[in-house]
Amino acid sequence: MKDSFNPSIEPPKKTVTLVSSDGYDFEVEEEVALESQVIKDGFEDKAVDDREYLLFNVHSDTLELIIKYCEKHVSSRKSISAAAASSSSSNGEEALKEWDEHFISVDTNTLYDILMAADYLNIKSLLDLAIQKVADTIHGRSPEQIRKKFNIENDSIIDPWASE
Amino acid sequence: MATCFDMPEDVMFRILLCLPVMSLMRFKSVCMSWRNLIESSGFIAQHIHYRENCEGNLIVFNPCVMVDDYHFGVYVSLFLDDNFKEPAKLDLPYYCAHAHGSKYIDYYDGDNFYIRSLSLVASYPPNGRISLGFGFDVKTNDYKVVRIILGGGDFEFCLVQVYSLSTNTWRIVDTVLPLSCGLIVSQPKAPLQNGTYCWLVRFPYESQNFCDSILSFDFSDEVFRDVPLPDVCSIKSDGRLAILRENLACISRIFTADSETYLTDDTVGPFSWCWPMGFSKNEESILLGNSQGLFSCDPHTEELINIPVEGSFKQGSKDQEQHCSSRDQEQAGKTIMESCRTLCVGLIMFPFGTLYEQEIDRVFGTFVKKLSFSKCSTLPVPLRSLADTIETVFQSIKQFA
Repeated sequence: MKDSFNPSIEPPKKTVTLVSSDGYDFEVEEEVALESQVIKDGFEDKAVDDREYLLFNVHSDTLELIIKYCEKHVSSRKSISAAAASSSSSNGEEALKEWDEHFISVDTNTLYDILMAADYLNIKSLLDLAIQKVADTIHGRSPEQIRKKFNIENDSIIDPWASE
Repeated sequence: MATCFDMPEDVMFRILLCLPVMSLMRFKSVCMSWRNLIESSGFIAQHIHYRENCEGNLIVFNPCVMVDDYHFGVYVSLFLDDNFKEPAKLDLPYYCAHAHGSKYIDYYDGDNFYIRSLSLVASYPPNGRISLGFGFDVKTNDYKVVRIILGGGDFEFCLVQVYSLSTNTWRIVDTVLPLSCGLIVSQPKAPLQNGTYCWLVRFPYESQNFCDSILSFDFSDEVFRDVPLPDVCSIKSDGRLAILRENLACISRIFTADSETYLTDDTVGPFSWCWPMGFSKNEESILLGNSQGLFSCDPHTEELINIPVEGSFKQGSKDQEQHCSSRDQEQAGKTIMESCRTLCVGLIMFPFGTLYEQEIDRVFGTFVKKLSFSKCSTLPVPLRSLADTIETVFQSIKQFA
């Protein structure tokens, strides 16, 4: 190998604090928090010692999952680009896809919470993942099941098959 | 699960975008707001774009069933992915056509979506022929159907009408076909790309059953164009147009310029005649039809899968109908497998853009040279090497472009 990589010269990690709606603090690395576009947007304007975010819409249970997702994606991205740089073959992207698939296989309530949190925090890849999962779970349902699931009142008076 | 009302509208919109056509058609009856959303041109445009890279659907129209003396029914099978295991039920209200006078048709396009009863009331001449094309106007995000009615002894009568979904009306288009047509090969699911639809066309008076040209219709400009097929090429009127790797491909049983004999006719045993029908969406297998059914054949592995379509599939409508038991079916499968090894498929492929550039001969010239096919520009390929040939032709197109 031509390029040697010395992990000892890495600077100490900067962290930010995320506070869940039920008052729990989560200290995460800066780059993990920056996966959220919402946090990223105002990040530079905030003072370094004031990097605390109150997430009123995200419960600690959900936040824990979200952080887990972001950490995984940050670390995978690094290992994928490292593999690309040393031009060694890597199935990192496939492994990550598999991990995502496993990650999002949760019950409906949790899925909904993740979806809403991803939307609120604007984490694009997670939002895409959750949206696709919801679509996968509802695509075979009947209109009646959909109404029940989303609590929609049936106001359709027109038969969809009727021709004009 | 929380209610729809605290789901942000844009999130709901995006969830619906991920759904296949079949689900959307069903979900239109969930509530008015969903219905309005699903039918809006903005949603339709985005959905088409979004679904482009998703798994494809295969729709098989099987128009074999006489309902009574004047009506025939059509079985429609919809396959949502490329394994062709089980068709989804398509609950069409009815699909029937009358020989003369009024005609109703349900038109359905699987990759995009729409289903609606169209009243095709038209007074058209005796022995008239109707050819339909279903398409999408990319400029106005509107679904359209074009109908070409040919009639008269020499097919000198020609009327072109366009139906627009947004206005739900038919109107006559003041345009003339760029060529005189005896037969326009109408396929329910024919190539549509960038709002352009294509038909194979045969001139009138031609004694032989070969197609001469490709007629295209641009749904945005509502203009017809024609592209002559290369001289040496012999595409039977049962040939098919298909999209292959974003190029327009024409597949047919073939006929060589050398021997002027069909390569395939007598080689396929008791179930002779086997038509190439198209390609699977993943473009790895070719679809073949004969009186025994519809089959998907993987040229690499020679694996043959019977596609279970609704109704008894009778491609080519040969005179005698062959009912077959499961044992016969098995036998038929074997025979077709045998025939697939010897079946030759003519394949022509060219970039869609060349439809307007009249450069097809040049393109073919390139293929012919590169592939060292000295005499014929259709490529007679034994099915098993089809995959390799597609690859070679595709590379040639890329180099040419």
